[in-house]
Amino acid sequence: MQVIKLFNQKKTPIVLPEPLTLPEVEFPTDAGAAGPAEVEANVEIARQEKLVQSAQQGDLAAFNELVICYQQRVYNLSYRLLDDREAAADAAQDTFIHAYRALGQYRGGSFKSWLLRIATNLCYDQLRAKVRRPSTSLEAILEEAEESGGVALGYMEDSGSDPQDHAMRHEMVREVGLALQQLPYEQRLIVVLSDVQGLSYEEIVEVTNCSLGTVKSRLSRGRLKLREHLQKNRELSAEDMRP
Amino acid sequence: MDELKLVAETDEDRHQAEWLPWLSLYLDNRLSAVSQPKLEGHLSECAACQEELVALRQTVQALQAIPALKIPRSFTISAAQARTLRPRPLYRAAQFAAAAAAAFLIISFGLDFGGFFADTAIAPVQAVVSQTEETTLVGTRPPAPTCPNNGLACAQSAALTPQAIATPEPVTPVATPLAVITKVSNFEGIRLVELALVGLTLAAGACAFALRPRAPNRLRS
Repeated sequence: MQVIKLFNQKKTPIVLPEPLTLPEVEFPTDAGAAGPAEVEANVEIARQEKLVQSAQQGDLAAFNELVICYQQRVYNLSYRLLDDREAAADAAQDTFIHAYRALGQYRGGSFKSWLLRIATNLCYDQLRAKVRRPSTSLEAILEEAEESGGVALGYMEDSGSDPQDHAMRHEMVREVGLALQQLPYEQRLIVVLSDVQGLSYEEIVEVTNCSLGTVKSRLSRGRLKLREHLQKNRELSAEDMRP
Repeated sequence: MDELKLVAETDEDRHQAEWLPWLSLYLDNRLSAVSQPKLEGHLSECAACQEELVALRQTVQALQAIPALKIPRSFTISAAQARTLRPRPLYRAAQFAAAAAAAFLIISFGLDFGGFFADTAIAPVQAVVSQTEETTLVGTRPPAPTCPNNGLACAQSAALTPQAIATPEPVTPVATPLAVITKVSNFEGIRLVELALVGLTLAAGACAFALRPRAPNRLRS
């Protein structure tokens, strides 16, 4: 190895420092940073907060934008709780009427949770004062759909799916829908909010005003009971199919 | 044999009661750092709980796969509908006026019945009654006593002496219906104020009721 000695202008040797040995440093990864989906969600939340502020100042167009954002969610929640299309539509409309009138009382936090809380309270009131009307329950709709060849069930699905898969999926939806209606209201509400609507435990606490422990307990019992009902219904239908 | 079976069922129930509630939390990654390894250890040994977990997971997946229903119509609110829903400024003013008038009315009634505006001049009323009676007695003469001899008025009667006529006996004031009223308001103006407050409360209340925001029966686009 050739050793090169360096000299400065005064002809004195320059002693180079030994090469530094850097310790192993863990550079922070991007795991803590928000992914694209989270960034988009945060942007949407900020947009909705601005809409709420505008609506509170009397901007009807801003309020209607919020209605468009949430009307499907509110309608579906009402339907799963009430098992009646007309009642669900009425409950959804009443939810937005109440929300518009009570905008002044909204003090921040999750607008979604606030809106769904109004919806669940109205559905509960409707159930308590329920007067039997001509049924438009899931079973009636599916019976009608079966007669008409399965057309216009009202679900938002892609039309390009395999017919057999389509039929199986509808059968499964029918079973699950019927089993949901067999749960007590409190368990059905928590199961729908968690597994059908996709809310987190904390959001469910805000919507239902229950403690976290109550939410966990009702969700666990609701799911287990639902599994039992599904199993029982399948056993019964298997027995029916035996010659 | 039956007893053994019964015991086994009870043990199974106890086993289920102990572990099943944890499965739901385990699916959602909500078990604590202490409980999760405990459950995972149990799952590695218990086939029944493994089956339960699989069945539970399938149930949750079935719920998550439920497709969303289409809305039958739009639930947006039109401008005309919004006007009936939001309270107008005049409604708020009428509400405030009715509430304020009612509050003042209650205070006024309370003070009135509590005697805040009561009249304390009871003596002048009795003095007026006494003066009236004295005037009447000074003007009369007692009947003259008749003498048995000639029927003439006896001069020795004490009632006919000039002193008796000039200084009538003092009269005891007699209680009259007027003096029975112990608390008489002499501030007649409070009555007018109370009447005005009643009128204002009723008028503002009627105005607020007429202007109240009303939700239409069903908003249909």
